[in-house]
Amino acid sequence: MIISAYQTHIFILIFIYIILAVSLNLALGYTGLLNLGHVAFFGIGAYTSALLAIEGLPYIAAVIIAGLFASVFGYLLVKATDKLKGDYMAMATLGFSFVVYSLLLNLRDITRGAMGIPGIPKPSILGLTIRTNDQYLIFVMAVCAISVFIMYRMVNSPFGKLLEANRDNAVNLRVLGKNTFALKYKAMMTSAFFAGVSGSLYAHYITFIDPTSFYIAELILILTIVIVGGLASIKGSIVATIVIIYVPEMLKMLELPASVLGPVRQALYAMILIAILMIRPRGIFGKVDLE
Amino acid sequence: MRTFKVVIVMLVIMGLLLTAGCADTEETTEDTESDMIVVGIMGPYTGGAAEYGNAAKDGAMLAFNEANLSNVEVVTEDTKSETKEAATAMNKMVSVDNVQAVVGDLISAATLAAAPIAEQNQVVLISPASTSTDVSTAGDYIFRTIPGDDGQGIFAAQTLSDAGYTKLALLYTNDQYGNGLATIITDEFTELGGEIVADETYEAGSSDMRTQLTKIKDAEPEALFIVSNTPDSSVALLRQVTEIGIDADVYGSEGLKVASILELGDSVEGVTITSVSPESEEFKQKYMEEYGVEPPAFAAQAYDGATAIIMAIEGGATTGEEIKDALYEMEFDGASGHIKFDENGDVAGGYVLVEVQDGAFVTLEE
Repeated sequence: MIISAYQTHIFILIFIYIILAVSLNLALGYTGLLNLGHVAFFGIGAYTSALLAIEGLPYIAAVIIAGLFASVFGYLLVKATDKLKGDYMAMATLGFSFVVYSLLLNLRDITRGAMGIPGIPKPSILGLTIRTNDQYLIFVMAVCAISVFIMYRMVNSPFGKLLEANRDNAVNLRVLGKNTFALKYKAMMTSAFFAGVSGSLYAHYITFIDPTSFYIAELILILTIVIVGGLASIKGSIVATIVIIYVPEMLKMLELPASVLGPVRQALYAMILIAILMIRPRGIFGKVDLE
Repeated sequence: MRTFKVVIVMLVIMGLLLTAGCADTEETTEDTESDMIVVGIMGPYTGGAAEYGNAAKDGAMLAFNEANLSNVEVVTEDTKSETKEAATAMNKMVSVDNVQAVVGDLISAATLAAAPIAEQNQVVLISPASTSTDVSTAGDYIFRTIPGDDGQGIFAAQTLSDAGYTKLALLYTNDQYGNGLATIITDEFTELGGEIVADETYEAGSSDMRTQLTKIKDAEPEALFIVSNTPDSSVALLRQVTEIGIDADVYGSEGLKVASILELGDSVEGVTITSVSPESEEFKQKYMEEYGVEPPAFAAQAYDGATAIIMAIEGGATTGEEIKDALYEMEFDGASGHIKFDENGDVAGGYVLVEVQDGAFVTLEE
């Protein structure tokens, strides 16, 4: 392989987070659902897939069930927050993140609680087991391409235009006789499905998960990606994922004294993000603002 | 025009970073050619556990500076006590720095995320602080210089049972450490004929445990065992034990052994803590001389982890595999106690009871 094992690792993470960020952008940027519960779908997907695979289910089945299970929660979340908009929706969905975190932590008989799940098996597809990271990279690249392609087709279809109309003026859309609830849950379920799939990819790659991997820090990371990339821009989310995951890694190459290394990297990273948003307030490729 | 500006700014930033990156990589390659053995230290240097991470780093650095081996180079990586960051740091050190052995990580979850990568690349990983029982079975290359939860759990259950208690209440943080220890105490104490009358948890960092303590009071335990590893929670908790008027003897894990609880005065008199054997006086002095403070938790364990690696290298080991083999063979009296790795890479460790007497921690003699 031409690239080092470390770069392979970073690229694997980038592809996983591209799926996660683009799927959040589908709900947040295109449909205008201020969803702070995305990280919960990521966690649900990771846990479902890991637990099923440990029970001996084939990987393909585990990943699909993980996506579907997350998408069921996506439906329930829209059902519960249908009447809410803007900040209120944000609060309710943030609450959903807390509830899921709490369940992962306290349903100890199923999730092993804070102990986490070690030893998650590497995926095996049609008899081929993915052993090395190079193989895993090719696998996530393929899954990422398929996922992004599906979402790209979705937002560029007439249906996608309806989603954007819902974001910009839901009342008008209802006056025109469209069912905005149906639009919202379809968008959220798709978004949750892909978040679940990326959760599964993450769990089987790192091979160890615990509830803290799917909490506030992670939520902030994916929100940052979507906002820096720009709302309602798939291209933006992809570029931002690369920037946001790659920049901290490049900062590791700076020669810094061990005593200040952690904090200085964090500060530089923050400054780069602030600089991007100062120059491009709507994100790198952003076109829209949320009310 | 604006887009153009953005592109320019980003290109400049990336360019700068990449140059820095390349410079570093070249250096490392040179080092490898000149038979340098690279050793890593990783842990949380930012985030909630930064205090512990920095202490462990200082402890390990002390050992490397002391040994001053001409063929050893040390690199450090911050893992923010996140699993993903730990996996990334491990990958980076393995493939960019070409490390053969690593001291870290602290949080069990981070160690467990880094372990498969270390194992696969035949790199030794010695954790100075991860006590989860899962670390024992994480692989041949995974060691630790702190005894696992089972050690302290069994010791605590035994102590409580020997003291004649039959009804025990447990109150612990709902995290890996709290759960691990509580499970073992429960199993062991029940086996010894006791009964757990209350089993309550709280979120790490919270400061109101009145609900849990009221439930515990209703269960009328003879003794209460507290597992806490956040100083603020420990203080709040002990204050509320007195407030609610729990009529049970209070015991706790080593997380309670922080100076701030002594400020509670009379109400903490007689609180008994199970603690890993204290660091040696010699290490304490060396550490004070170098850093001007008493060694915090895990500094001694990290020092021992580094010492074990240094001893292996001095014994002629140059690759991760040789260091691993040497580690299973060695035995020495370290700063944190007698170090001898068993077949799981664990150390047995000793425990002592520490009691609060007249506003100070006093180690009880056997």
